[in-house]
Amino acid sequence: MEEVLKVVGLKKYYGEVKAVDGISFSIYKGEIFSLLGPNGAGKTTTMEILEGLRRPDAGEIYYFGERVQKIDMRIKERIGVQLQDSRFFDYLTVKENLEFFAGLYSRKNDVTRLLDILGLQDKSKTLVKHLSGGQLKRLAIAVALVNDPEMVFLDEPTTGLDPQARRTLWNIIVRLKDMGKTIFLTTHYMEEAEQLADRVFIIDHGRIIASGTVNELVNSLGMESVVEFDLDETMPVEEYFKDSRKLEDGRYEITTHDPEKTLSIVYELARKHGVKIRNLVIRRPNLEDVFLHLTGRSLRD
Amino acid sequence: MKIIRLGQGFFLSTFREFGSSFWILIFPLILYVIMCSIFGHFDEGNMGIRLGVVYEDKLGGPGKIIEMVLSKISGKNGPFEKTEYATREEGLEALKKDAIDVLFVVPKKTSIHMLRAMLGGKGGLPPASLLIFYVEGRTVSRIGANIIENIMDSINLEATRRHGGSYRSFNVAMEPIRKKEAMDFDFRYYFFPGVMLTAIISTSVFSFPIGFLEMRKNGLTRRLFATPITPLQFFWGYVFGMFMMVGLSIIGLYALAYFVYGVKQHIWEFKFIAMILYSIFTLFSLGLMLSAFARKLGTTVAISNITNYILMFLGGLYFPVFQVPFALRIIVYSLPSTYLVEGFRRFFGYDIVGLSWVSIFGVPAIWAIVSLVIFSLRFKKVMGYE
Repeated sequence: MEEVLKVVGLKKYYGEVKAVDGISFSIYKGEIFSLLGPNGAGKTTTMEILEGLRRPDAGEIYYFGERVQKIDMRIKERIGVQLQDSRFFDYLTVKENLEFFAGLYSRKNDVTRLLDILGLQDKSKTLVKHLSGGQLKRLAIAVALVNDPEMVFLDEPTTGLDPQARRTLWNIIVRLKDMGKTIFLTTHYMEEAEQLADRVFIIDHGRIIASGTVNELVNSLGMESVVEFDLDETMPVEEYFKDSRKLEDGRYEITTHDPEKTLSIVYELARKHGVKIRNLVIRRPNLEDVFLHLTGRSLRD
Repeated sequence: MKIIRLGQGFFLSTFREFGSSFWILIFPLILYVIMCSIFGHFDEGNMGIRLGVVYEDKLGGPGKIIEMVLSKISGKNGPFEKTEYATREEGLEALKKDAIDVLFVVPKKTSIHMLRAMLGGKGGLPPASLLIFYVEGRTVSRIGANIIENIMDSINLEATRRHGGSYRSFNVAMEPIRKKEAMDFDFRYYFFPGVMLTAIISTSVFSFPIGFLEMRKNGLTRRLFATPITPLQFFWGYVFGMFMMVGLSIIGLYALAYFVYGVKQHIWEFKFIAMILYSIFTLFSLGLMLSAFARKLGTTVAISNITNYILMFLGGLYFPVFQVPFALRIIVYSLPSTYLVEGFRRFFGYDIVGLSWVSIFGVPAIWAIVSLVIFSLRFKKVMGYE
């Protein structure tokens, strides 16, 4: 597969803080590559180094097969960038903003087509200051595509959006992949990485702690199932199950190879303590479980 | 090309934002209308011809008539505001600097000459000769001189009527002072450069530092640096955008002054337009220096306001400020706006303190150079890229 971007031993320190601590990865043409991690893990710093907005302290970057010392104009012409908090000219319309940004590149995408792809056609004459959060995110992606880039950086594109707006954006991202774009996506939503990413690299404290496809990562845990449930009164679940924990919302979670046996023990304990079980779910492990297993913390922590 | 594209974006965005466009485009027009309305009206209600008088002779006897007549026509009683000068040179200097409109000189021995004239011109002395100096080309000066001349002629006529044919009339000599650029004092002209500089200052001390800071804080700067533009292109694009805003403001002011207030003389001269460009350059430089220190929005707005008011009021954009207390005068003489506005007023013939052309261009140039050096040293911080 054609390597679009390769990073080797990338480092960025701010005094004592190791924002990015020697990470390495490669991104291949046409894939959606996701960097998943909690807030402050180093996702945005990594992305901004690769966009040319920050200088690395160490490491090698290869773009389109060539080593680059600096992300110069030549590279910027070929990449599209959606920043986490993208801002535009508030007093220019959506279309004017797109035309403005398109004017800064030598290669241009058709603005009308972009408005159509991003579902912003009816907002083309609206001033940016009047857009909703979801519309702004879509505009940010549209701006990232004005130069018809080979590679698109999407930094937490759905953060702060409601579930419906998030779904809409996911569909757009899938459509971009179908158009042949290589996508570098950062997110702290494990559902987003699971839904969209071909490969996921999990980052924590500036280091890559796991990588692979979603299936590879989940299977690496060696778990088969997760049992989740509510109790109407407290019960010492953790005393009976080593791989259990109480979630922030009060639910209990037990990872197990043998869900049938686990269930019977849980029911037995509930009867013994006079407690009722509610909302019981048996599910496959997910990336959240992988992160929990690797760090002992939740992605949301 | 990218600079023009960036400039267009910045211009359009600033133009559509009411707060910015009000202060840069609308406020100067309102200010000019207000200033002309208030002071133009005062001017019409009171002629207020400023008369300078030099008594080289201590008047006595019939000569006292002149002194009495001048008192009668000055202050509340007449159109003149009288100021006495000790010497003819002082009076002429005041006339050249537009401190007065007309100078009346009573030469030595006027009293004795007038006495002789009344006695029938015996004794072989020539008739008394009074001098009226006025500025050539200034209507108000000429009118003032004619009024004085007519009054003096009336005195001669009255004396002839009372004393018969033996009376030898005193002469009244009209002496024009050549002052090529001189114009009548006219508030419409006086305020025009001041208001124009207000528009430039509003852009430079507000739009530059606050604009750079806001873009840096809200992330627009980062977004732009993610595109293939260099910091210098970004910088020149922003300067170009602000230049267009100021240009539009000046065009609006020219239109108002020309079509509504009839300000037509000198403003189309190449030198005058070059002076506008020079003012934009120096004051934009000052704005860039302020940008170099802009970190927090609240502090920057406060500093911009203070700078704005100092440049406007202590720079004498609306009122002469050269008579303020010594401590403030130091500030007055160190501000670029003081020199720029005086430079513009020279075109209309208003030269109050006689600043040299070297200082008119030199002091703002020093400000510009210092500002640009400071800005260059902090360029990376101002532009907000790593």
